[in-house]
Amino acid sequence: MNDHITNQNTIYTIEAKQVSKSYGDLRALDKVSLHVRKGSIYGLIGDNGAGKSTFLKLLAGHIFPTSGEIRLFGQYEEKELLRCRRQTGIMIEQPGFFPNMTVENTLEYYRIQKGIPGKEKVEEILQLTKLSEKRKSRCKKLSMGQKQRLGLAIALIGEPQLLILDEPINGLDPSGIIEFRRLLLRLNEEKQITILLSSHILTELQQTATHFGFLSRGKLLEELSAEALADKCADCLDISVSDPETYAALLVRRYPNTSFQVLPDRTIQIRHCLEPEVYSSLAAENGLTLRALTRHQTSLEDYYINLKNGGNETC
Amino acid sequence: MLNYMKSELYRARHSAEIRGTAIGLLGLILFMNLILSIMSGLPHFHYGITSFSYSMLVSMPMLYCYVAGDVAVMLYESDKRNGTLGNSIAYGISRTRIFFGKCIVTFLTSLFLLLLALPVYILSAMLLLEEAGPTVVWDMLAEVPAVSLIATAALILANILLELFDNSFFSVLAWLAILVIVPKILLLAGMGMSSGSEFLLDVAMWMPANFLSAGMQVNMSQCITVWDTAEGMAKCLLSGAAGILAFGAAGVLLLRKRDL
Repeated sequence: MNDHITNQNTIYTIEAKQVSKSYGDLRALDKVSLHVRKGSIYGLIGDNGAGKSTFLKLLAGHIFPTSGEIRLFGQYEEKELLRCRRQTGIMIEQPGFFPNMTVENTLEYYRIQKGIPGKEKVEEILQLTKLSEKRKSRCKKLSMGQKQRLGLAIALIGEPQLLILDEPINGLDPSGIIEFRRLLLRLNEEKQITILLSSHILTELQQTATHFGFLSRGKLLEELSAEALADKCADCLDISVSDPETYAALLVRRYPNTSFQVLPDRTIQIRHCLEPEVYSSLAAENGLTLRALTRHQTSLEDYYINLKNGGNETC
Repeated sequence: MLNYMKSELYRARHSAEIRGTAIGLLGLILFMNLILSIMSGLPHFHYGITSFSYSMLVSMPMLYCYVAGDVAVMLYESDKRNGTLGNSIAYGISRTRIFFGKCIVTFLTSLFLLLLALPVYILSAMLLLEEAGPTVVWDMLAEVPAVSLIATAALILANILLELFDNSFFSVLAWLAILVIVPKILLLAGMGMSSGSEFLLDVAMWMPANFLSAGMQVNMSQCITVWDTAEGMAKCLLSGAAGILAFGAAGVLLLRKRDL
């Protein structure tokens, strides 16, 4: 499969160009342009109803876009997309299986469908997803977490180069989440599988993803790398003083490179701050009363909420 | 499409529902012939003969359609709900190929059930019942090719409707409406109208639900079937072929670009 190379020599496994999807009057996706680099783990973040599943369904071919273009591995024609999907493992909303079939038979069914030679592939996937002990269990008897793992097993049996997972850690217990995260990271590192996963559990995504896309009400608000996000969510210091205007002037004079802003509640917020003592000393030396000094780092949740509410770079 | 069909046949082989249907069908056939055999010892009971047993199937050729439709329901009624159809689409199998794959697998599974049931039917009747009456084995055997295309059209329609409706109950209702109720209404309308109704009647009489009932007399004294004559057999085959073409084309058009 040829990888798609766009300008700036970036290789994208998934590229969406101005993609919209409407259901009657409801616009589920509005001109979404999204880029997933080859080898990355892309976390798609959004509230329920933001359009995450709709977008993933478009990638899976479950639904068709109203307008815009989707490229997988650089291909966009319908026939080519079908071919490219054979290199994609997908789990959207809930894993698809036959409730009365055993786990082993279900994987064998998909092995045959995907034309993977050799029955040993089923064994390999059972071990990889730690479902060996459940091979003879009927799918409907599995726990929620085991069903999620079966969904991943089905997605993996086609030896994909791209994994698309919608809310994959739903129903997993804490140790299951850790195992799942490790497995995804291993697949990404060892097999160079590109992964696109959506979740509303943002802390989990923060530990896994190398790139992020923020969706809200069908619109892609922003996409950025983990490094860029870390920079935007860098250490902040909120300072409340008796005279914020004077303190701001002092800051500019003493530390001209400091990035700060005065918030509506007259708190001074400093980004990429120095040690807190520096700022308390500055207030004391100039006779200002320091009321509060709070150091914090913006979480992904805060960043998303802020972004959703129209904010930009404040932490 | 070949891999998709292979996987679906693998599933049908491991399907508890198909196994249950096969066992139920065979049980029902054996039970019927056994009851007829036991009852034949009673005075004034004239039905303990092969003709009566055979006539149960010969007089109701639409049964083939019902069984084929039932097989489609067993295999695919929860395909959307289970997310398995979504998996196949996500794997890059086109909707058209999935549709035709489903139809072929339903046909092969129905054929398997038929090949299982028919010998059991005939052998158990021969062994347990007195060979007498107007309906003979040949009538039953000739019925198979006569209704095969019609039953195939019925199973294609079932597969379309199962994918069109989220609720399989509505799919079954729509299937019955298209295959049985609408033809009956057309027939009644054709017969009831005084003028200009010949065309309507002609159209209605090309519909299997009508010509496979109105054109036949199968009872204890005679066995006149549609497929007895070359013209009747041709009508069965043409009607079935037309159904396959019409429903096949409808399936492609309706499902090709349908959102899941």
